[in-house]
Amino acid sequence: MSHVDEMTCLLYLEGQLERPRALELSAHVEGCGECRALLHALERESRLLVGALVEEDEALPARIAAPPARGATPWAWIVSFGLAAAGAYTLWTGIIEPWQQQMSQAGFEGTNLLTLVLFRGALWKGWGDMLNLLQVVALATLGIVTFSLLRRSWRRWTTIAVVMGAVAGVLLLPPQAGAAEIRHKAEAYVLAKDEVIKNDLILLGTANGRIDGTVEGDLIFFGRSLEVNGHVTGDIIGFAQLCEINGTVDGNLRIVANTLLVRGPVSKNVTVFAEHASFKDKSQVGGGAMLFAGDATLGGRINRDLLGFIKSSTLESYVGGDVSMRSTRMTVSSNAEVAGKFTYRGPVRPDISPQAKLASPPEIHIDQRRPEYASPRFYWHFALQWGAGFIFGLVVFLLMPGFFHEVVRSSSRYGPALGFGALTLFAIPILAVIACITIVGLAVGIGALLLWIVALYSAQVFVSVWLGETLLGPSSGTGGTIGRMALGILIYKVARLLPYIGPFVVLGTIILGMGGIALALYNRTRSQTAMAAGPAAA
Amino acid sequence: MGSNEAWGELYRLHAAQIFRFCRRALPSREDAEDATMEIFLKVREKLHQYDASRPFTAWLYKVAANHCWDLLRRRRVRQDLETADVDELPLEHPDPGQLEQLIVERSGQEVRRALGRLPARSRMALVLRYYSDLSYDEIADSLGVRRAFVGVVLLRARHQLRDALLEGGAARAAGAT
Repeated sequence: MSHVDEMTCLLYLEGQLERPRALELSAHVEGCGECRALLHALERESRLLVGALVEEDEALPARIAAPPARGATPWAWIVSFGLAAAGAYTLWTGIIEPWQQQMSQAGFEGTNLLTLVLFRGALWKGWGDMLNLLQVVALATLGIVTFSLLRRSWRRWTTIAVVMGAVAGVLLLPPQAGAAEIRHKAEAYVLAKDEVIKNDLILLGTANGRIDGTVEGDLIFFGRSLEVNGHVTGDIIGFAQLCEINGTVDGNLRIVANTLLVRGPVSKNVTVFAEHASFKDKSQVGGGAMLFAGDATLGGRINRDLLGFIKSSTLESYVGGDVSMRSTRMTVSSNAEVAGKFTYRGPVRPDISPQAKLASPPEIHIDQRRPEYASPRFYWHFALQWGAGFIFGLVVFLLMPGFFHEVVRSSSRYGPALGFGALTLFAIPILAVIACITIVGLAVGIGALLLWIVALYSAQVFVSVWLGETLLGPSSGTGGTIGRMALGILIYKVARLLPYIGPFVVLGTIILGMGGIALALYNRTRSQTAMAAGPAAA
Repeated sequence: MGSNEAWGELYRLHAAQIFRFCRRALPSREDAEDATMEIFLKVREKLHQYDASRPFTAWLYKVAANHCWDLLRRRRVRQDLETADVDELPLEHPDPGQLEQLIVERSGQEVRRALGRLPARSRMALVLRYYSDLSYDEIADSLGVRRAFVGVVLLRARHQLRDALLEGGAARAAGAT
């Protein structure tokens, strides 16, 4: 018999060989010094391994010295659910319902907030035509996800065949009729004066778009600048740096832009999110207008209600319905005319020209700089805010306890946490907006932005736990951590009310918390890379 | 109250060994601490599933092994050993003298450091076998490999450990000069 291979020797040592084979090997080893030496070396290696592994080199850390207590939390759940129900009721009656009423007054009848959010309202009209493109992207994503989920349990080639077969099957289904005219990533797009597009027109990633002709449908634009001099029979939905509407729009105007100039008539409603918005004298809005802007000058005519959240606003137009404005500064010029109610809310009184024609005396609410400590409502809101933060923290803690502790630990490393936090706070929105400009990155951009918003809110929770642990010492067990979180959030909520210091407390907390999250994520990816590449992590 | 006391006693008896298990199997101390707590929460939930005819520690290690392996897999740690390359492991007869020389006078700390450099599956296999003393069947079940391959996984892991020990030794020698 020739020498025995190492695999067989190992199986022999571990008692895994069948009896006849083991006996054969045993007989061979008696007469073969080489194989006996190998067995001896392997046995010694096993002893070395066992010794190294069972050696008591580290004591049990204090943090986990006590057993985790799950039964200690029902009270927290009861309080949480109670607060959540009360919070939801207050949110609905205090914010959503009044909003719906205001939107309805502003000319958005039949478009309630839920349908708006669910992409069925006027704001999202036009997306249906992009469904084909989105379907392909969604399908591909679904395919990749399904493949990665099934990869571990099925044999790879079977999975690929099944998933790809399903994808091919769906793609072969007859496409929906009525697809829009889609143009991608051109430096410039010009629709000449005499040209007519008898369909919706979608311009994606086009740097400069100019519509001198007619679009018999909706116009959807993602790009740098959009100039409409012609006629659009449907809606215009635009995301642009500069947007000029000089032509005629028969539908709604929904714009997100840095600068918006409107000189022509819009037959239906206008919704604008802009840094600068200007409605010139010749502009006309057939329905209502809703504006979120840094500064806005409103001339021309708005036939129905005007609802504005504008830092600095100037009203020069005729408004056929009510005006409801929230501003820091507002000027109502002499040629302004409001047929309905005029309501204003802001820190200083608006400057209303005596010549302005207001159908009824203006209702003006000046914001109080100080919170109304005497009002029970103030304490109710405070409790709700605390409860919301606490519930959120509880959910994060119970869903991801490991990650939760990691973030809290990372937040306590002030230097790196503050650096990473500042970077994350400012860099992610910028990157997300850049990603949104390209349609392929739209999902990534919006997803990143949503995660960023969640991180922004969760920062207070992590910093609060760290604060609680700093004050009461490290917790051992679930109940301890939840208690520290409750205390930390309370202190944070009180600290943010402090005059002058409050805003800095909020900013510092956000930066520190976001830094903690970023560091924890960074450490996780690093440890994965380390494990994959093999360098020492112990 | 009685059950809480019993639970506390069970934790006190086994927490240190489960923490050490996690410390050997997972990349960082923080991971090991969190995993220890999570494992005991799972144990508490699944305690009714425990078959009293089997040793408790074996069952405990099984729960711990599944938890840690899930954790590593969720982090998409590289799968270092696919079935295909298991088949290709050469059957050789190494020089026993060289092997003896490699392992002689190695400290436990050196071995643990080398172990930390191994791919996740290899490290997990060694920990399950030589720390938890699990059977080949249990290891196969935990790692999701066929039972016939467990020996190969272990032998491959030992080879990788020897390489890591050699590298560690070379680095130390270079540092000393």
